[in-house]
Order: sequence, then C-alpha cells, then structure tokens
Amino acid sequence: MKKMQKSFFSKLFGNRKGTAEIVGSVLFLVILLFVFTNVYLWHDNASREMNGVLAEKLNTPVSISAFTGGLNVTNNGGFEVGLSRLWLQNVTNTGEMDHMYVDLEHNDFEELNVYIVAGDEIQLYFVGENVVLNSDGSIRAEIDENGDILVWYPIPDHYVRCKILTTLGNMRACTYDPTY
Amino acid sequence: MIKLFNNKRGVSPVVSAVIMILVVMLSMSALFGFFVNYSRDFQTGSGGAVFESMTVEDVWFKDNGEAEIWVYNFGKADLNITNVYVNNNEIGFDPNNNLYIAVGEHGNITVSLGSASGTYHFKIVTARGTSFEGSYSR
Repeated sequence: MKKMQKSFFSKLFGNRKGTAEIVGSVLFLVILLFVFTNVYLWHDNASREMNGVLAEKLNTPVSISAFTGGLNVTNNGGFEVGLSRLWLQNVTNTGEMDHMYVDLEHNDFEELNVYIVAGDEIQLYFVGENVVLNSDGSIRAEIDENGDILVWYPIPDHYVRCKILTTLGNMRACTYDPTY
Repeated sequence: MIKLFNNKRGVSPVVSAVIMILVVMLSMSALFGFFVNYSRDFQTGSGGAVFESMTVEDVWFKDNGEAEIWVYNFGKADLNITNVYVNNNEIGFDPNNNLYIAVGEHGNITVSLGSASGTYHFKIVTARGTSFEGSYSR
C-alpha cells in the first residue's frame, strides 16, 4: 500500500507537464479574487458610509413653530444640525404663490454656518421694512450678537407657509399666522 | 567564462522558459490593468449611485403652467440629473435637459405642465440611474 502511495505521489510531483497551466490559472484566479474583493469591499464601505449619513439624518429631526415676529427652530435629535434654507410661501394680493427662500448658509458678505446643538433651539426674527435680497435672489439673513438669526423680510401681515431645510435634508413646516 | 558562453547545450529550454515567463507576465499585467480600470469605472459610474441622495425642498406650480422643482443634494456624490418624468411621461426641462448639482448644493428644474390642477407624480433620474420620486398637488 505504502509503495503504491509513494509511486503515485512521485509520479504526480515528478511529472512537470502542465505546470505552466496550473501557475497561469492560479495567477488568473488571484487577479479575479483581488478585483472582486476590491469591488465588494469598496461597495460595502460606501453603503456603510451612506447608512451613517442616513442614520444621522434620522437622528436629527427638527421642529419649527411661529411666534409674533419670528420663528422658532428646535433640534429634537441627538446630533448637531446645520440649517440650509428657510422657504417662505407667501400668498400675495394677486393670488399667485410666491416661493422665496432665505439662505441660511451664507449671504453676500459672509458664511453664516447656522448650527443648532442637540436639544437646543434657535430664533429667526423677521426684520426690516422691505425685503432685502442677496445677489442670487435669496432673502438675506444675518446672525446677531445673541446668536439669533435676522431675516430681512418684513413681519408678515398675512398667512405665510414656512419650511425649514437642514443640511442633512430634513424638512419641517409651519404656518405663520399674523394674529399671533 | 568562455566555456559557459560557448556551450550551447540547454539554451533552448532556457530561452523558452524566459519567453514563457515574459508572455505570462505581460498577459497577466494586461489583465490586471483591465480589471483595475473596470473597478475604477464601476466606482465612479453606476457603483457610485450608492452615494447619491437628494431631497425635493420645494415645488412651485406657477400660474403660467410651469412648475419649478427645487432639489438639494445631501449625498456624498455630485448629481447629474438627466431625466424628469411627470405621471410616468418623460418631459424636457430647463436648463438644457441636464442639471449638475454638487454635494451640498441646490438646483432647480423648470418643467411645463399646463394649467390643469390635480396631483402630479414627479420622478427625477440621475446619470448613474438613481431615481427620486414624489407626488405634489397643484
């Protein structure tokens, strides 16, 4: 039995015919494995990264409410959240809906970077007698010394639909009622 | 030394082995290069769709029959919007049927709908094949 085994293995390893094919096939498989592992790991990492973004989005819900002369935005989540835009849908005298936005990321002069830490709130005050626009057509906003936001839009004397958009894509809306 | 180079016995197996090694090395390098390129194309192309995300921040139905759709890119890849469907019909849009929105930027699409009131179903498709849908009422 041992003799048979010995002759079988000596034949197998002694015979060098076909060695090149085996080496070539192994190299080919190594390259295939490398590439598909690379693609799979990249996709896995990308999915994980985006899941992180979506988890952060889910954990940063905001709420918005109106008070006389302004709006109150509260971060109800567990992460700091940045504000991107405040949309104002304003029913004008002509009956056409005006959709305008307040740029809360920057104005013509500076970066605003409005952030609300977890559980905190921030006030946006309507100020000015007329609407003041940035060069891109957005309504101008500024930060005062208390950290509140001044929106250069007259205090509305009619119903205005207000929508806040965060930098993570969350939105909330409320209606500004002039009878406040 | 003279003996070494004058002795021609065994030259043929050496030359064939060298040629074989060269052929294998070259073909494997070409194959490797192709796969690396394929992998890079996948990551920047259709594979990158996993990084795309956007939200429709505002839809304004104007009196002149146009609708202005504002979108915000909060994903990790730039968006290239190539098609817009309204109620499952592909329609052209401004600007020039192609809109590029960088990460963290906003963009607007203007489409002509007519003045009929009702609910419109919008589907926005990017070059990587991601689609975002929503229904809005006039």
